[in-house]
Amino acid sequence: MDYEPDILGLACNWCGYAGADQAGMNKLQYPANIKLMRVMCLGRIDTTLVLEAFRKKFDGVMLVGCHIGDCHYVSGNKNAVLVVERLKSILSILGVEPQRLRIEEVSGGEGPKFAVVTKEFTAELKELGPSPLRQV
Amino acid sequence: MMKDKKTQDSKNQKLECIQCNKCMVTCPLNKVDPTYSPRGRNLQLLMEGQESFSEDQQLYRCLTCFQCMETCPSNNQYVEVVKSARKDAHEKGHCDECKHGSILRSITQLQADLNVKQNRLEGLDPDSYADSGEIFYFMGCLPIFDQVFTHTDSLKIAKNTLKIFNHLGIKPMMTDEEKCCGYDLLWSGQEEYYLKLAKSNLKMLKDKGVKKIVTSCAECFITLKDEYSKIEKIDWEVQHVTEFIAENIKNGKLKLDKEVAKQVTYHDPCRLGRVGKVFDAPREILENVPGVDFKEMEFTKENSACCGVGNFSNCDTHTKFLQNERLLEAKEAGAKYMLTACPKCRIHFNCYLDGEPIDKMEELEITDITEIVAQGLETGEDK
Amino acid sequence: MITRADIFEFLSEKEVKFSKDDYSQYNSDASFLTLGAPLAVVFPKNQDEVQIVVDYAMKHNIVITPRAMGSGTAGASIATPESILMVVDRLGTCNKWGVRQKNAQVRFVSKDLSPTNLDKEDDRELYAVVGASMSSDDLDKFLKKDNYHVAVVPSSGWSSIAGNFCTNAGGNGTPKYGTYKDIIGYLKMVVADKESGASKVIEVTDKNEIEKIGGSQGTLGIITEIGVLVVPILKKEQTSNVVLSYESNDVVTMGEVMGTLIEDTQKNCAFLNAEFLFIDPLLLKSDDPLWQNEELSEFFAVQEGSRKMLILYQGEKSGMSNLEELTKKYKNVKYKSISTAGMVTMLKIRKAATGKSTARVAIPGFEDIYVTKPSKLGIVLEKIFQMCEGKLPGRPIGHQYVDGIVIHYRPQAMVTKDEYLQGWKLTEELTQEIIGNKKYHTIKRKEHGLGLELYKLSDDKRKAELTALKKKFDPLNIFNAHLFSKNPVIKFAGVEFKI
Repeated sequence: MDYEPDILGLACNWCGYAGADQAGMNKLQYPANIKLMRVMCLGRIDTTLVLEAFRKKFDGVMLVGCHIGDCHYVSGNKNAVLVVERLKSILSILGVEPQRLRIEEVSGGEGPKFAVVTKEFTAELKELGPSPLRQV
Repeated sequence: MMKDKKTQDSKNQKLECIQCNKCMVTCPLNKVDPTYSPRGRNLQLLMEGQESFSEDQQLYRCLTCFQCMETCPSNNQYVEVVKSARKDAHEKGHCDECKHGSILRSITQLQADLNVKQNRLEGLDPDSYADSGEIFYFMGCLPIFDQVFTHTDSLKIAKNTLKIFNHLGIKPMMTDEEKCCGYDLLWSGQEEYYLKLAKSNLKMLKDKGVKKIVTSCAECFITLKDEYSKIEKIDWEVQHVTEFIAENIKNGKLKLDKEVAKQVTYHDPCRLGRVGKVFDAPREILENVPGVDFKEMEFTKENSACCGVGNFSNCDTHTKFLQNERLLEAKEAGAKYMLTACPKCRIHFNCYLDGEPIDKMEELEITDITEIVAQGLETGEDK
Repeated sequence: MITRADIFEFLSEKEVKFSKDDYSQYNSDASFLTLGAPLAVVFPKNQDEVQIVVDYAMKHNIVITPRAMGSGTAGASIATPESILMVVDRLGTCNKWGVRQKNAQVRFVSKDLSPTNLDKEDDRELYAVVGASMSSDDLDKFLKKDNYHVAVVPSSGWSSIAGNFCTNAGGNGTPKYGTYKDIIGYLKMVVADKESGASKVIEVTDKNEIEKIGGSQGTLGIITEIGVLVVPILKKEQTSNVVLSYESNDVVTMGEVMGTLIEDTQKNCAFLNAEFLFIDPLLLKSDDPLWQNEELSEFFAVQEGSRKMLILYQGEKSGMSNLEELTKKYKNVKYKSISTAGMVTMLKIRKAATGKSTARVAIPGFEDIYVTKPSKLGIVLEKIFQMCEGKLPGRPIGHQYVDGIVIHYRPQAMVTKDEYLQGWKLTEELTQEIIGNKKYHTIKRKEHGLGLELYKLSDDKRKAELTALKKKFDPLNIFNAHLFSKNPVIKFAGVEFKI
């Protein structure tokens, strides 16, 4: 199958992005399908941003932030969990598989974990096939 | 009945504002913000031209509540002018700001683009509706509202409507293929997306061979009835659920036997009332629910106040004042329940009560008229 | 020099609402005349805020132009570039947040201004004291439950009571109660006091003085509270509704007959309300449901080439008992008694024909012609029709007053600048031809509709009266100063009309 999913990775400055950075420095292999975008905190991610990503024909969106309790801004990632929960039900109503959205906790030192979840997500999306929005 | 003036194409409208000031006095927005008035905007259009009118941010302040058109002695189509100006403005890259981080806008746009099976009927009892039939129940965005506006149980309107249908022995047709009617996009000027949604709905309704559509949303009602017919000829009847219920009460099919001892008042949604001219059906229904103590508010029917928000883009301090005024009116009328027939009015008022109202209104509840009807059904006969 | 920014800073500090931008709607009013953009536009919600603004204006020697709620067809509420436009359309009817309230805050006083209630005996002079910007319609709504109404309600019921008083408006009760100057019993005003150099609140209770102030177009001060005469609503069984119609191609005779009839009825009947209306094919659309109305449809059919005049009488039964007998004297006059609902519909049509409706535009400066000898109505009408026929279509309508008839002539829809100017020219010609000609027994009414040319067009007696009032109430000339100038520079609003 020559389908390669496009993934938008929204990574928080303090953990997620640092984790990805570490994975890179450690020369860990992870799929190039993910396009990383740095935000200061996952608390900044609102529902619209993610929906817009899907409208821009991304096959999957992954939010990468700190472990619960470790948020640099106290509770940004907790909010993100709620947003993702809500988004999943909206996506499901609209007929987009909720698995296309994912939130992961990756600390600054967890480079290997970042590589693993990215691989996992890419494989899952490959399984799911292209986003329904790609077909239009 | 629609006045013939309202069905004319707004582009061909001649603006005949005579600066008489009546709109200024009745405009709900002017009540709270003297700097805005349809009269002033008309003068701007007259003197500075279309460009200045369309590119001014004031364009998006109009609540499109049709109150000014109701009072205009000159039959000036101000709201239609606003609508077509918004369309022009959108083509030039201007747009209103959808509140809540424009989530609802994104959702509807996504819906317009998507062509997959949705799961919109998930929250409903699968035994209460059918895949085919003569009557189609157009639910609208209720399941989506539930995900966004957690303070209001919007899907309950659909559940109650289905309960009433079932009580009549009808399993209405419902489908996952239904999409948002496109109302918000149409009124914010994004016609290309509106047309995508409308055409998809039209195709679906045609394929299903629908004879009659019943909807529980005032905005869906007017969009399906008046706006869709502008795209292509429709050969089905569109009814608002209040009309449907009133009709069935009149012909004796629907009997409300259970006592509902509640003091209620009814808020006419602009799209059902001033635009759709459905004023009597909801009142007939309330007369027939035993035990209901129905009280009119001061401003009703054609002069019904606005809930304060038009297509999710006007919510601000002024909105809150308007909502406060309206709810106070309900309270003064002696009502414990303010009923409405538009899920959006319900959401907006509930949002206000959910926050910190200026005046105390703990006892007041906002709910949909279908809920009172559903309560009036003899429970034993539920199917 | 005080700049816009200075005023804005001051107003924001004092929390008085004002318009930051978007001046276009305040550069002109329904007259489509303009003097330029005002220095600032403020929206005071109560007397205190009015005083704040007046104090400021006095300190910096700025002129204030008040603007109330009505349409302003006479240009009295357009401001000069160096003045503050004070929009008083919410004055005294707001809550503390500045949100306009629909519920009337009304107190009732008797003739001597002692507090009283509505529930006492009926036959006495009773005034409702309300905030200046209360509209006559709103007050009517409030009074309805007690079976009272405002003595005089103009065709535009949305206009504020204080505004009606300042333009000395007439209305449906005028034949019986007079114009607004006659039905006001109490005034509270903010004036600019010369001695103290600050604003002062005064009360005017002298009926004579109030009568003079009526029609002064806001040149004396800002009215904040006003007492207006309210009267009991006639019971249905006490009222009688009659339509008199006359159809002919001879306008002179028609006007003469109807005019004489009006004159006679004035002597012999006591009326509450009398209006007249001309029927022409443009009045009703062919698909109007009124054509199906059994009672009224006959009034709207008119033969080609002829004109039809209707007089609508609505009044006390006892006062109209000999009307039928009276009409028998005149050939061709048809008498028809109609239902109250029918009369309401007819009055609505009349209201729509006053110019504030589809395809009809009011022309500035040409509000009313006053015919002092109603029997001469024929030749006045003939002149009007003659002058308009070749140029612009239109229709006269009017009121019957105690001492004559007022005709409004409204040319039809003119929406381009050219057409507007053409209408304006016609207006001037008509005014000269009809009013300037002694044999027609017409005068131009003094205040209503004078607006911008208040001083210029007033007669000598009124000029002296106005000057004296100005000297007494506003010696510093703070309010609407330009209305007293002999040659105001008036321009047409907008560069061009684009419709």
